[in-house]
Order: sequence, then C-alpha cells, then structure tokens
Amino acid sequence: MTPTPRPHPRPTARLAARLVARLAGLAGLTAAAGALILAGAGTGGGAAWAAAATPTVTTISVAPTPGKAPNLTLSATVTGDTATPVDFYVTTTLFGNPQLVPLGPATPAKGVATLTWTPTWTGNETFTAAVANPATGKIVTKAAASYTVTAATPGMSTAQANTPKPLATFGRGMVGFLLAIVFAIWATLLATLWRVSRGVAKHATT
Amino acid sequence: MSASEEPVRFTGIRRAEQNLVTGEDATAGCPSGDAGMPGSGSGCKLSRRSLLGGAAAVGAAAAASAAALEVFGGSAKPAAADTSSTAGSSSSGPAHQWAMVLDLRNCDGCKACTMACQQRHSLWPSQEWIKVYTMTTAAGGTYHMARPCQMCEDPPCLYVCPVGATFRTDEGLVLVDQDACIGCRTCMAACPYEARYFNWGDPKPAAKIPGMPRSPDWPVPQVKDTVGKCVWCADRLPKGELPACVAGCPMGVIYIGDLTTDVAINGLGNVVRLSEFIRDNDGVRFQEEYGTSPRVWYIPGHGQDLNSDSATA
Amino acid sequence: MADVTQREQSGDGYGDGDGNGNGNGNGNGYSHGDGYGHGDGHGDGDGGLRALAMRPVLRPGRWWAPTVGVLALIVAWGVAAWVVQYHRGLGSAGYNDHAFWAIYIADVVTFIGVSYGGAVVSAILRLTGAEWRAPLTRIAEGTAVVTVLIGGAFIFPHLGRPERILELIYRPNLSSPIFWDFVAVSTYAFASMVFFYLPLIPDLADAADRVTAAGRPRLGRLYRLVSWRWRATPAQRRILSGSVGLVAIMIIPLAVSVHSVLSWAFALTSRPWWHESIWAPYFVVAALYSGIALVIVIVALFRKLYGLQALIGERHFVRLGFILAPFGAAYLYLTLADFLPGGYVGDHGVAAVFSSVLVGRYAIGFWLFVVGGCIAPLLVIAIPRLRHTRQIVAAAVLVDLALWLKRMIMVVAPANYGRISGLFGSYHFTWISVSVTLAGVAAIPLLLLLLFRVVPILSVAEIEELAHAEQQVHIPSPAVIPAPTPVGVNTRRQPSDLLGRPATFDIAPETP
Repeated sequence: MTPTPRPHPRPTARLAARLVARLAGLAGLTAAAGALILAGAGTGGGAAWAAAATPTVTTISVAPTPGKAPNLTLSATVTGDTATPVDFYVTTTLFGNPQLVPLGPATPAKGVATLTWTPTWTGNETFTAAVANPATGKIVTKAAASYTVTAATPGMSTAQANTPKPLATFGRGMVGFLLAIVFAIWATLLATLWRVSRGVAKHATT
Repeated sequence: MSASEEPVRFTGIRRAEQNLVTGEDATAGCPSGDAGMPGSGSGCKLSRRSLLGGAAAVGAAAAASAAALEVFGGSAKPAAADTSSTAGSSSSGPAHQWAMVLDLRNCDGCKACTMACQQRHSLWPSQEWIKVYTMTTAAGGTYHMARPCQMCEDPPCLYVCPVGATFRTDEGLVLVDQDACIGCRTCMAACPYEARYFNWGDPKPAAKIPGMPRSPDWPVPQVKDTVGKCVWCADRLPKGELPACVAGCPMGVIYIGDLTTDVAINGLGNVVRLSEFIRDNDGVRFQEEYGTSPRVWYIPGHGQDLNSDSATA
Repeated sequence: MADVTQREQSGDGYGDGDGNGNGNGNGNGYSHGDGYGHGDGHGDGDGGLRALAMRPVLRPGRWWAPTVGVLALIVAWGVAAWVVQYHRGLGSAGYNDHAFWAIYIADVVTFIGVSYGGAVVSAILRLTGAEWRAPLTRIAEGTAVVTVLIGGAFIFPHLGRPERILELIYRPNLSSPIFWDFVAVSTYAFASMVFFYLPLIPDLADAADRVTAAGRPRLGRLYRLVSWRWRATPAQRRILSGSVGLVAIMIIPLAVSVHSVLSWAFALTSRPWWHESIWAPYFVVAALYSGIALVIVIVALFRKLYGLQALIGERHFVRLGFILAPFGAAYLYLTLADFLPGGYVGDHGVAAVFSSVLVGRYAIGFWLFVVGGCIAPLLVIAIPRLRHTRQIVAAAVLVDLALWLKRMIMVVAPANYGRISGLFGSYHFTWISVSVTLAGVAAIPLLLLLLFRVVPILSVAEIEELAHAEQQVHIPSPAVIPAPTPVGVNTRRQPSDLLGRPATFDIAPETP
C-alpha cells in the first residue's frame, strides 16, 4: 500500500468538510479544494447566497424507476436558487440512532432534482432531500418523505474478486477418496492379523 | 468441554449454515469463488451419511455423538454464495454482511483502538487484537496501519483448524470457540495477517458481567492455552452498537459497515455508502495475493493533516 | 565344535576390526553357545542363537535394572516438567506469539521421522531379500514402533489443551492437515506394530517352553497365546510369509504418507519457507536419513549391551552406512533445491527467512547441520579408512542431532518471522521444554530395553531360515550362482560372522 497524499479534513474541520465532500460526490481533492476556494473567496460564491436566492426544497417524492426494478427514482422540487446540487439521503438505524446515509447529489433541472437509487434493504424508509450552504456546510433546507421499499438488492458482493482454488473444487470426492484409502488400509491390516491368527491355528498340524 | 456439545452459545449471531467438517469452501470443499462458478454449488455438499461412514472408516466409533452430528450436519453454503443468493430480496438470508474500511488518511497511529479493544476484552498488552503497525515506504515515508482481524471470506485459519473451533457466521464473522480449541496453533501459522493471539499463560482477569457468559462473540475472559482473536465486537453489532475500536478511534479512521445494506459508519458518526466510499477512494484489501478475500478495505494515506494542506493551497 | 568356535572368534576379530575393543567384554555373549553357528545346528532348540536372542528376556545382566531406573527417572522428570507446563501454560516452554511453533513440533517430526528408518530398513531389505538384514530386523522394527509412539506422544506437550484431543475423533474438520496427521500417524503406528508382531510369532512359539523352563511361566503362557499354536508347518509358513510381505509393502507408502502429511501441516500455510512444494519429499528423505542413522545407533547400542557382536559385525554397519549415504546426499541436494528458487527470486518474506537461515541469526545452526549432519557423515562413509563401526556410529549420532537442529530451524525461523512487520521474534529454551525433549530421547532406549525384556531381540526364525535357504540354493544349482563356495569347506580365511557360513555380500538368492 503506497500512501498517496490525499487531503482529508481533520476532526476539527470535519463536520463542515464532510458535507462539502458529500456535495461534490466524494470526488476528493478537486471538489474539496474547490469548495474551500469558494469558502475562501467569500465575496464571490457567497454572493450567490443572498437572501433572495436562497434555495428551498419544497417536496420530495419517491417512485419506482419504470422498467428497472428494484430501482427507485427520487425527485426533489427546488425553488429559489436551483444551481446548487441537492443531496439525497435515506435514514438507517443499522447502527443505533437514525442516521442519514448519503445517496448522492443531483443538480436541479427546471426546478426538479432527480436521483436513481438501487435499494439495498427493504422496509418503510424515510428519504430526505437537502441543500447545504457550500460555504458553511450547514443544511439550509430539506424535505422528507416516507416510502415503503419492497425489493432490494445487496449493495456489494466480494465474490467476483476471488480466484477459485483448483484443489478445493474436488471437495467431497477427495475427502471420500482419502477416507476410503484409510479405511482400506485399516481393514487390510486387521484382516491380515485375523488371517494369520486363524490360519496359523488352523494349520498347526501338517 | 461441555461446550463441545453446545459449541456456540450465541447472544445475537446465528452460526453459519456452513459445513465446518470439511471447511467446505476449503481445500476439501467449495471455494467461495464457487459463487462465480455456475452449477458447482450443489456439488460441494457433503452428506451426513457419507461423512459418518468416513468417520467410521477412521475408526471413530464415537462419531455418532450428538455433537458430531451437529458438526457434520448443516448445508454447505459458502458465505459468498449467501451474499448473491439474497439478490432480489434482502429479507431472506443473513441480514448483514459485516465489513470494515480503514481510512488511513486520518490514522496518526495513536493506538486508541488497540487500547479500547484491550480494555473491553480484558487482554494483556501483548494481545493486540487490533494492532497498529508503523510502515515505512520505499521512499522513506511512514504511515500507520491498524490491523484488525480481516474476517476473510476464504479464511485459511478456518480450514486448518482440526476440530472446527474456528467457524464463520453467516454474517461473515470468523470466530473462535475457545471452549473447543485444542491449542494446536495451526491457525496462527495459517493466518497471513498474524491476527491471532494465543493465551500462553493465565488470561487477564475480567470482571464477570451478569447475563454475559463467555461465548465466541464475547470471548471474555480469555481461556488459557487457547487462541483468541479480534471478533469485531460481534456481541455489539446485532444491537446496533459500534465495535470498541470503531467507537474508540478519535480520528474516525475505522468504519464498520455492512455489505448488504451498503452502509458504513465511523466513530465520529460519519455515514457513507460503503461501495461508493471504497470505490471513490481507491480502497484496497491487504495482501490480496493470498486469496483470502478479506472483508477489510484500506484507503491509503499517512495521517496527513488536511488543514495544513489546505492552508498552503 | 572347536573348529566352529575358532571361526567365530576370527569372525569376531573382523567384526571389531576398528580396534575399539568394544567386543572384548562381551565374549560370553556367544562363546557358550558353541552349537549355534553350525551348519546343521538350526534345528537345535537350545542353540546359542536362541540363548543370545532370549538373553535380554531371561538374563539381561546386572546393569539392566539400574539403567532402566535412571532412564525412567529422566522420563519421569520430563513428565513432571510437562505437568508443570500444563499448569503454567505453554508460555513456560518458551513459546510466544512470534514463536508459536517450536521445539515440540520439531520433536514430533524428529521422532516420527526416525521411526521410518526402522520400518524401511526392515521392509525394504525384506522385500529385496537382503540376507544380511536378519539379525537387525527385530531391533529395527522395535525402534520403529517405539519412536512412532514417542513422536505421537509429543503431540501432548505441543497442544495447549491436550485434554481435548478426542475432539479430533468426534468433531473433526476434514479439511485440516492436522486431522490427517492424526489419521496418518495412527495408521502408521498401528501398521508398524503389526509389522513388529507378525515376524515375532515363530520366535515366541519357539521360546515359550524356554521361558517357562526358565521360571517365567506367565510369560510362556503369553507367548503361546499370541503365537497361535505355531509349529512352523509349511502351511503356517506360507500364510505368515505372505502376510509379512504384504505388510512390508504397505508400510513403505504408509510411512511416505505420514511424513508427507506432517510436512503439509507446514506447507499448507502461506508462511514463507513452509509454503514449499518440495517439503513433502524433503520430509520423507529427512525421515529416512535420520531413521537409518538411528537404526545404526540403536543397533550399535544393543549389540554392545547384549553382546551381539558375533551376529552383527562391522559389515552390517558398513552396509547401513551405504544405505545412509545416498539419503544424506539426497537431503543435501533437496536442501539446495529448497533454497535456490526462493533465495534467487527474493520474494519479500522468503528472502528474509532464507537470509536469516543462511547468513543471519540461524546461520550457525544451519551450517552446523550442513557440515556435521550431511558432509561429515558422507565423508565417513565415502573414505575407506574411516569406514569403520565406531566412526559410522559417531556419524549416525551426528546425523540425528543435526537433523533435530535442522528441524528446529525449519520450524522456528518461519514462525519467528513477522509477516507484516518483517521483524523476527525469538524462541527461548526453558528447563521445561528441554526436560520434556530429553525425556523423549531417554524414552527410546528405555522402551526398547523394556520391549526386549519381553520379546526376543533377534529374529531367530528369520536368521535360520535365511541360512537354510542359502544352503539349499547353493548346493543344487551351482550353474545359477557362479563359483559357489561349498558350505563347510575352508571358510576360515573369509570374513564370517553369521552362523559360521561364508559371508555373502550379494543379495541372497530367492527362496525356491
């Protein structure tokens, strides 16, 4: 493992940087640096957040993607500033308290941001669409909706990476074969002892 | 020894429906790669009858005990096949396939994970179930790398255990039944990650917690002259709690996750989509060349301080 | 009779031609048996051969009890050390996480390895009909049985939880090499006991009356019980020789399997130097090499203890040396073949371990093994001036010590190597591990002394049969064997140490 220098927020900067990174779809250096430049510029990017232009997520809707089960299409309606990407989340309780799992960003087109998501678990889930201030990382607007996910596909499988071990495929046959050999050896030894004891006793007289 | 009849006393995790007799996905069974080999899945089942016949062949008359039936029994389903078999509906099959991601970009080698683990499991200082190695690169740089149990999908330690004391749950955790371990240490020889630690003398005393008897997922206190290893705090996971090392890492390096739901979280509350996180950050698995298919991904890095980086930017 | 005795003495002079005088104090071992060497004396129930064979059973000598006592004390000390280890934990034997396998597994490999020598000397020589084997087979087979039992017993100190060993039977994991070790070793141990027992039947039947007359009626009854009314009838002979032949054939691949599976306990892990395809044959050759060396040592020991110089002479040691030498050369060759590919390519872990062995922290032990355990014994056998009993026995002792050392290095070096850190841990001997190991060493002569306290040390029937067969062939078919030496005709000048007949260095003719 060669360590590659990768900028990543220290804990102090994390809360802000996390959302920044998320905003950029976790694209790493470029996005993070870009966001920080934005933040640093202050007067430029920040100007887009004048009160009149503040975006508002009014609704979020969830529907099956036609013809691509079990995918879901998440749609968020945005008013105001529609240039800032909308982040989609789903709530999980896998690790205790409800937590938002980022599903990815989408830039609104004609006031509607859409994202396709392949569910990885089923159940009645809460979906959230939110827009964060690129400068502070704070969520300024959000909307949530419930939807019952009925079909899901596992998110990740590692099986494809494995090269099968050639001897392992013998499996049962090899074990059975070896045990049969061991059995034959013990049987032969015991039979030999039996044959000698019986034979010698039987032929004691010529 | 009574545990040999009741080898698993689980609090929350179901034992894998996996044939421990042959290791099944070991040399005598199906590799986990079988999942990618059409039609091979059914060919790797060892019937109870044939195995009992085989046991008799080695003169093992005692094989007929109930415990033996337990060990011999079970369908042979490699865990990797489990993952794919759940396609279409994650409600059938195991709910979770646990995984870890270690974001080394944040690791400064403070060993808080090691200490949290040792405290929780009452371990001697030398028993570093999660061990932080300081590595040196060819160019002279250093980075820190925490090594928990890699929870291999193709675990060499499981295959070589002569009595099936090491087993794999259907949620992908490789655990040790210390009440069955005979202390042969072949697993220590087999593990390419040196993740196993033997109790060479008396284990560190541990206060008894009511309602928590020792079990493979809660191996506290350790058992003298048997092998122990990182269990990813298997008793906590079903309860939605974070393993001690994950919770104890002040840098948020260690993410515990679930391959099935594709979610991972670290001790600072950062939630990520597991597959995306690994893919976008070039996550790699340690020592892939051994074909063990670990469940731990590392994101390379050396504890760099992003603040200072950005300050110069 | 006078003639025979004189010949015996001249034969003895040859047998101890190394001049170390090791036969001098044991003249009574054969001189009273004035009839046993006679050409027609093999039907003689009270012959000297029988007296010699039964002497350890009936009159082992005054040294016997004190010797057994001392050896038993050493073994008891080792057992006590093991009990202490069991209570304190394996760490008290010097183990740690960076030396998780060490002395006891090396002992297991060594003791089970030396067992092969006894089996193969007996089995291969039996199958090829080498007549000179006759006085050695019982000792060799006894050594095989005793050492495989000791080697198997070393599993107990090796395990942290030996009281759970029965799990191997009632909840085995069939994919584990350790399980197959258990299967292979127990099968081989059983086969070696059968191989020891079958040729014993005629001798026990023959000796039953003798031990009864000597005041050991219970032993006599036991002999009769386990010899199944053996009267050496042709049908009985046919059955027994067929069975012995079958077991002799079986025991060779069985032993190969044992040492292969033992090596796979190492080679089926991905650890550098253990994970080598060459290890199975490497272990087999090591077992043969050290095993034949141990047969030489044990034969020399018991020849001296029980005065068998008349039957076992220098030519036996020379021939055993000739068998030993190719295995020594083969082992040296396999060692080179083992090291060259890994040492040449320089894969990270393999290179580190090989460096530590060849030039690093284990280098002294390794080169001691190469020089003392391979080259020196080969020279002793290769140089005629050195090729004498005492030197060959010394070389054999060296071989066994060196191979134990080699196995220690083979076990400890890869176990010490930290595969992630690249650093080496270390193993330290403790009084416990040394005591237990020495107990195993002491247990070999102890168990053999006890074994030959109840069974004849010589395979009387085999010795007589071979002598008889040779006569039968020599006389009627002179055309087949060029220039036969008629029995009883002026053999005084020839080396003769077996039954007063001409020594034949060729393989004996087939029994018709």
